Amino acid sequence: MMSLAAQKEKKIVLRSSDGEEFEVEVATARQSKMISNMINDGCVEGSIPLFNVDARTLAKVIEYCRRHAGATRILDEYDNPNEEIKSWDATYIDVHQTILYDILQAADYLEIKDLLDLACEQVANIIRGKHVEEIRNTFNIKNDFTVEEEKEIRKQHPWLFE
Amino acid sequence: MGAWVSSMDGRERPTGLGDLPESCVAEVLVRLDPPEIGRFARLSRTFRAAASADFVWEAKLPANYRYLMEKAPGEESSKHGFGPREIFAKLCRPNRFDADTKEFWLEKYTGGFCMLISSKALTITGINDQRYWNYIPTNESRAANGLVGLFYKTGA
Repeated sequence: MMSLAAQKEKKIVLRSSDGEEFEVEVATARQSKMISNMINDGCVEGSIPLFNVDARTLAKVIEYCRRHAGATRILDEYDNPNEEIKSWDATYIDVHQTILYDILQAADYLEIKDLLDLACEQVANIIRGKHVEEIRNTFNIKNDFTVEEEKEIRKQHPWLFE
Repeated sequence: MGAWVSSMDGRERPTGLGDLPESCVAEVLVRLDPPEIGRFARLSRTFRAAASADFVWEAKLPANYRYLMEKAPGEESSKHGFGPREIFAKLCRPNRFDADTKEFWLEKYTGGFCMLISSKALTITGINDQRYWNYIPTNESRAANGLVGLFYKTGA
C-alpha cells in the first residue's frame, strides 16, 4: 500500500479518443470507478486510453473530478454535499445540450456516479413540466407515430392523462 | 432520430436526447415521475420503448407491491402476466378490499400509498352499541357503500 503522501504526488495520464493527454492526480482519477479499478489492478503503466471520451469532454469531466476529489471539504456534518459544492455543481452543469449529453455519456462510461446523477437530473429538469410537443421541440425529436398508434398509446394509459 | 454531426476527430457526436444510448436515457427516466414517463412514451417510437423498460417502472413501485397486488381485486391468473408498468397502473386505480369496506390506491405522481376506510369497517371502543348511535348518510359519503372521508396517506 502506497503512503497517502506518495499517492498524492503520483500522477496518472489519461488519453482522450482524439489523442490528447491529460495528467491528473490519483485522487482525481479515482473519482472514476472504472479508472479506480484499473489502478487497483495495477494496469495503469503509461497512459490510460479512453476511446469513448474526446478531449473537450474529458477536460470538462476532469474539472468535475478535481473539484470533487477533496471529499472531506465538500461534505457537511451529515455527509451531504454542502451549499458551496451544490452551487458549484449547478454552475458546472449549466451547459449547452450537446455538451451535457457528452458529459452524461462519459460519466456513464467512466462510472462517475455523482456526475451521472448530476447530468441526468439536469436533463430531467429540462423535461419536467413540459408538454409532449414542447419536449419534442426542445430535444429535436421527430414524431414517428401514426395517428392510430397515438390513439393506442392514449388508450393504454388513460390513468396517466386524467 | 436526431441529427448527428461529425466533429474534427471524425467521431460522430450526439446532438439530441434520442442519440444517447438507451441505458443513459433510462437513467434520466427513473428520475421522472410516472405521468412524466407517460408523456415521454408519447414522443416517438424509440422513447416509447425506453419508457416501457421494466426497471424504470420497478423503481416506481412500493417495496410491498406484491402484497398490495394480492389485496387488489381481480383474477389471480390475470395478475400473473402483469409487468411492472401494468402493476403500477393497476395499483393507481381504486382497489377495494375487505368486503368493499376499504379502498387503497397509489398517488400517481409520488407513488405514495393512500387509503379510504368505510365507517362500517370501524368500531368505537367502549360504545360499539348501536342503541346509542346510528349511521347517518351525508352528501360527502360515497352512496354505494358508505365509504366515508377517513383519509389516510403515507408519503412516497
